[in-house]
Amino acid sequence: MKDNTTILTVITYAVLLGAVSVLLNDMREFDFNQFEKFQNWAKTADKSEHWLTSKNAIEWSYYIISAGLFFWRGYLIYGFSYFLSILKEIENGNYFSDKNIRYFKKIGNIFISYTVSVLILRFLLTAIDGSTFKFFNELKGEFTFLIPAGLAFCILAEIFKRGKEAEEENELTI
Amino acid sequence: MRKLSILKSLVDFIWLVTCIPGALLLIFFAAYIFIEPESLNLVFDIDEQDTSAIAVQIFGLLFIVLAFGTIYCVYLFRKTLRYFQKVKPFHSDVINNFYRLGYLLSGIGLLSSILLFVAHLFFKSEFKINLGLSPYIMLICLGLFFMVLSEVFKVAKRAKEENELTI
Repeated sequence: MKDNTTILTVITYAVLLGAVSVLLNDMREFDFNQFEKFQNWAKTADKSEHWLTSKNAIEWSYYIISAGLFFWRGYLIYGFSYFLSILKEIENGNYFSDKNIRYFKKIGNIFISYTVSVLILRFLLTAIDGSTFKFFNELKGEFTFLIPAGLAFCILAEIFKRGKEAEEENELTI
Repeated sequence: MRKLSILKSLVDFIWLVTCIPGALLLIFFAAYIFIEPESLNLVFDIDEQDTSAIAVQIFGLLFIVLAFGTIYCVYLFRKTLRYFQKVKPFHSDVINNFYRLGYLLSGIGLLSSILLFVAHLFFKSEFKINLGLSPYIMLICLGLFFMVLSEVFKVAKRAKEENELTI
């Protein structure tokens, strides 16, 4: 098992590094000048025009939602980093520790909240774009597999809790 | 455990909507690629005109076998969830299923990435290695994770058995 854990730890580090670098690259490519554009618009805007219906307001909301998507991706990577902690606990022989139970629950919750939030944000983005939001097409996306994965981790947390109870009872009887 | 019933329903939905029709389609496709080899052009983007049809058919067949392996993994996972519903999480079948799932998933991930690399090399004359996040790496990770889980569950099973013996 030690070999598998070590391989898994190395791969998790590689995946995390890859994900962080991809996220940083995407953020760099993202048009951060939007903020500057917004400031320029504020200088030249027609005061009589309602802000909410102006073009820049739409661009600004697009910017905020895109930033929100970046935030959620970062949060997902943070969720993945919990795997390292779980693997460390397993390597130390603390299979059913409280930490592991908590981490499994956290990973599950992060996966589910990420998928739901990204779906909502994408819906808002398409609403701003004026294009049509195809719910089933979005559901077909690769990221939606995170919902069953999240649920599985929540269940694993419950099972680990039972494992812990069995281990504790065993130690008490000894 | 409401989450368990949601997960079971989701996995059942995937099984009924994707896996069963997918398996039937794969059987049909496995026969069809030998009747109509040009149908493989839909799957493989082949550049070279002089690529032998048999090589492409073998590659097609290997990918079909891997797809069947993936369907079998879903079946095993579904079977394992049934044990969880029966409140038998540390049953020996669960441990065996996790172990098999682990080996299958990491094997499928590894073989798929090798096959894809070879397919690119032979059919498109491209030397392409994907170092970033790919579904195959995730499959290998998932496989290793299941193997670790099977070992951990084995420990829990032993603890539970000892516990029952002392009572």
